[in-house]
Amino acid sequence: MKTSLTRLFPWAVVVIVGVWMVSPVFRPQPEALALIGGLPVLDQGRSKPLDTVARNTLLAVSKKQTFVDQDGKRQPAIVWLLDHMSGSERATKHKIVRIEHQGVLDLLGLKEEGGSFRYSLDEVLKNRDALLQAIRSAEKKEQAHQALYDRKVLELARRLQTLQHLRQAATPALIPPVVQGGSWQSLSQAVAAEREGKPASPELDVWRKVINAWLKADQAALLEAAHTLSAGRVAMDPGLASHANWERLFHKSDVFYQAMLGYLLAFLLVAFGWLGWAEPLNKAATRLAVFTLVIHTVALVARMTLHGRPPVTNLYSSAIFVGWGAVVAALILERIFKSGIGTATGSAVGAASLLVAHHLAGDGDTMEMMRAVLDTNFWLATHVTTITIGYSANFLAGFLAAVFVVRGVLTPSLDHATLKNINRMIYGTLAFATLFSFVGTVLGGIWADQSWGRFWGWDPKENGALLIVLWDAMALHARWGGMVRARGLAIIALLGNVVTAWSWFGVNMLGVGLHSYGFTDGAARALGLFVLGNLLLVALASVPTRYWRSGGGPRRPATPAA
Amino acid sequence: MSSVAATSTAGGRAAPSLPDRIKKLVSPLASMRITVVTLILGAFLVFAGTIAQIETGIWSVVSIYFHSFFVWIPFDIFLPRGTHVAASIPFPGGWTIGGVLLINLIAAFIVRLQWRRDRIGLLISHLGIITMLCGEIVTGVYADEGHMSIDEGSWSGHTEDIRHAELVFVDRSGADKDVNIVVPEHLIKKPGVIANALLPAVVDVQRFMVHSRLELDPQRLQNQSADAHRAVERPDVGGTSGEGVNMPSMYAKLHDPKTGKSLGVFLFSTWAKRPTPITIAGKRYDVALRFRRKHRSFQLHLVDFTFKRYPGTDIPASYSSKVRLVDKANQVDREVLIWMNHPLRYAGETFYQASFRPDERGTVLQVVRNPGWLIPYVSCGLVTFGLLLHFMLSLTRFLRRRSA
Repeated sequence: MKTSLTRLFPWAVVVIVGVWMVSPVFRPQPEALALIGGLPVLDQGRSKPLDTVARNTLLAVSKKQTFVDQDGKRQPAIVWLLDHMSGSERATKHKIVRIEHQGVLDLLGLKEEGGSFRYSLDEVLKNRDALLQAIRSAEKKEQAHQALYDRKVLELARRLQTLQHLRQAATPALIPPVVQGGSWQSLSQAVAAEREGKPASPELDVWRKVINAWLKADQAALLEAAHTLSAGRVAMDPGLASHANWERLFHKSDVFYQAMLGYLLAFLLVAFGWLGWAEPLNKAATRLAVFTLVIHTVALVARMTLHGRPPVTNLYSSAIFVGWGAVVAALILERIFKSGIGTATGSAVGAASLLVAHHLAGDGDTMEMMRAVLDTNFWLATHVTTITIGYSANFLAGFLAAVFVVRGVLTPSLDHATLKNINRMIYGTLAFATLFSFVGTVLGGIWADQSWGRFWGWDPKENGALLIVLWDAMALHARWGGMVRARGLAIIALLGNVVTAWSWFGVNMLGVGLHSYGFTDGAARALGLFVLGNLLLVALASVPTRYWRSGGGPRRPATPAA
Repeated sequence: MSSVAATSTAGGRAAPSLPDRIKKLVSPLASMRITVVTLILGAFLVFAGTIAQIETGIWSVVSIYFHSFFVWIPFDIFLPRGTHVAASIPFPGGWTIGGVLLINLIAAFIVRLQWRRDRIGLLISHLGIITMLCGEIVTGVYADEGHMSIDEGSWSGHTEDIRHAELVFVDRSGADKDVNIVVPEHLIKKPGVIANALLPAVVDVQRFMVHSRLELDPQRLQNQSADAHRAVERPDVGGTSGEGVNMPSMYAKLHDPKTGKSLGVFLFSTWAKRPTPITIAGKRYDVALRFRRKHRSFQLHLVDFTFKRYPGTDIPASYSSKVRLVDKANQVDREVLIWMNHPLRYAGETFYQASFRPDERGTVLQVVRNPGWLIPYVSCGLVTFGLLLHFMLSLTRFLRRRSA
C-alpha cells in the first residue's frame, strides 16, 4: 500500500495541480460578454480585443484585472468597462481607483478602509476642487522638484483622465473604417461624423443597442447586438477577428500567474522533502516543475505569436523570459545531479520572476508597440534574448548559492558530496552566464554600431551589461586561480544576484540612458529588499565554518576543475 | 597559480634558456590575482561611472571616468540626491584599469596559457579580449562624431559637433564665397581679450556659459533694443534632465582693432536663429556663436523626410530620410534612403538616422568616422568562439567523467 502511494503521489500531484492550472480558460462566461470582449478594436496604436482594453485600463487604475461590485461579487473587467462606457450609474460607485499615498488620501478626505485602498469615482471626486488645485500646483513644479506627493497626485490625474476619455467614448477606436483605407473611429468621433452628415458606420447603431441593452439589463437584446457586431468583424477581416479572440482567451487563462503558483508549489514540495518523505516529494516537485515549464513555454510561444515579436520586448516580457531560461537550466542541472536542488532553485527563480512580471504588468499594455529604434525583430531576437538568458543563469547561480549557504549554516544537511555538487552547479551556471552575458553585451554593441554608429557609448544599460560580464569573468578567474573555494564562489554568486538585479532594474531607475524602459517607486523598494536579502545571505556565509551546522563541510577544498 | 612554471632543471647546471628567463621575468605580471583585483576595480569604476550620469552628462562622465588614467570619485554620487559630503575617493581611471588588464593578459599569454588542446578555447577568447582592448584605444584616440541637420529641401555640407561651440565672423562680401573667421571654444571659454590680425574685431569675452537659456529681458524690451533677450546660466546638462545638449551663450565686448573704439557688448547664443549683423570699419559681418562646424567636400540634399507614428499615440513608428548625395570632385550624384539601422557609408564616414528637427520637417543625421569600427566585430567573434569551445569541451569532459 505504501509503495503504491509513493508511486502514485507524484502523478496525482501533477494531474490535480495541472487541471487546476489550466482551469481559468474554461471558466464559464456569459456569451454576450465573450463576444463583445473578443471584438478587435484599435487602442494605443494596435489592434486588440476590447477585453484587453478593459483589463489594461482597470489594471492601470486599480492594479487588478477584476473588481468587486456593490454586491461583493468579483466581476471581470469587461463588465466594469461596459458600466463605465454606458454611463451606468453603477459606474461611479464601483470601487476601482486605487490610492495608497496617505497625503493624497488626506487631500481627498478619504479613509483607509478594509486595506484594499480602492475607492469609487464618487468618493475620489467628492473634493474635486482641492484635487484640481493640487494637480495644478504639482504641474507647475519642474520634475526634479516634485515631491512623491506631487507625483502621486499627477499619477492620479492621469488615471482619472484615462477614465474620462473612456467615459466620453473618445477612446478606444471601436468602429472600423467605413470606407476602404479610412481610419478607425471612436464612438464620439462616429457620432460627430454622423451629425456632420458624413457616411456613418452601420456599427454605430448596433453600439447604441449594446449600450441600451446593457443599461436595461436586457440580456436577449445584448446577445443579439453582440452577435451582429461579432459577425460583422468576422466578415470584415476573419484573421483580425480570430487573432483578437485568441488574445482574449490568452488573457483569460491568466497563464503566467497560474504558472507562478505552479512553481511556488513545486518549490514548497521540495522544501517539505527536506523534512522527510524526500523521494516522493522530490519526484512530485520535479514533475510539477516540468509540467509548469511546459505550460510556461506554451504561453511564451503564444505570447510571441500574438505579439508577432521575439520573446523579450519590454521589462515585463524580460521577467517572463528570465524565469523561463532559469527553469530550463535548473531542470537540466536536476537531470544531471538528481538531488532536488535544481528543482528547488529553478522553481524558486521561476516563481520569483513571474511574480516580478505580474507586478510589472501594472504599467498597462504588455504587448505595446515598439519605438522606432527598437523596431527590429532581428536584434530583439538575438541581443535581447541572449542577454536575458545571461540574467537567468546569473540568478540561477545566485539562488544555488543561497541554497548552499542556508543549508550549510542552518541545517546539517550539507554533506561533502552535496557541497561538491552545488559548487559544481554554481560554477557551471556561472560559466554559462559568462558566455551568454558576454555574447549578449557584444551583440548589443553591434546593434548600437548599426543604428547610431557607436559600438560602445558607456550608456547606463550598456554599463549594466558590462558590469555583469566583469563580475562573471572575475568569478571564473577567482576560481581558476584558486583564490576562492566553494564558500567564496557562493558569496561571489550571491553578490552576482545583486549585480544582475541592479543591471536589470536599477539602471532603469536612474532615469538615464537611451534604452531605459520602465520605472516605478514600488519596484525600487522591491529591488532594495532583494539586495538587502542577498547581503544578509553573504553575511550568513561569512560566519566562520566552525559555527556552520553542517560543520566541517565547507572547510574541505573543492577541486578547482577548469 | 597552477602552472606558472619557470623552474630550472633538476641538475641546476644548465643556464635557463632565453624563453625561460623571459617567462620568469614576466610571471609576476601574469598573476591571476591581478586579473581578479583589476576586474573588481573595473566593475566598481563602471558602477560609479553609471550612477555619476544622474548628475553629469554622459560625455563628461566618459572623459572623467573611462577615458582617463586617474579619477577622484566624489562620494556624493553614492548618496541620495541632495546630500553633500565634501569627500572624494581616488581611483584608477578607465585607461589605467584597461592598461593593467592588457599587460596582465599579454603576460599571461607568454607565461601561462599553453597551446594545449584543452586550452585552445581560452587562448582564442583571451586573444579576442586583447584585440578588444586595443580596439577601444583606437576608438578613443581616432573616432570622431558630429551631427548633420538638414531641413527638407535644403543642402548641407558640414557637420556640427554639439559638444563644442565656436565664435564665427562671416564676411559675405565675396562674390562666390563667404569667408568664415572662427574663434575656437577654448579661447572664448575664459573671460579675457582676444586680438588677432585675422579677426575683424578685438573680442573681449565677458562671460561664457556652458549651458544657458534665453529669456526676455524687460529692461531691454523697454529700451526697444534690437534683441530683447538675456542669457541665464543653467547647470551643465546631466543625464536625467532631459535637455540633452548643452546650449552655450556668451557675452562679449567688441572693439574696432584700429581705433580701439568699443562697438558695444553683445550676446551671442547657440539658441539664436540668425547671426548678429555687426558693422566694423564700414564692413558688415555676421557674427554668431554656433556649434563647431566641420566642412565636407560633398553635400547632402534632403529630398524628403518621413515620420510615422503609431495611430493614436505619440510613439514614433519609423522615420527615414531620402537624401541626394552630391560629390562634384568624384562625380557622385545619387539618391539614398537613410533610416533606422540602415546607415549610409560614404568617404570613410557613416551617416545614421539619429533624430529629427522639432517641426518634424527636417532630419538629424549622426555622422561618425571610426577607423577602428571593425575591430570589435573581430574581437567579439574570437571571444565568443573561444568561450563556446572551451565550455563545450569542459562540459563534455565533465559529463563523460560522470557517466564513466
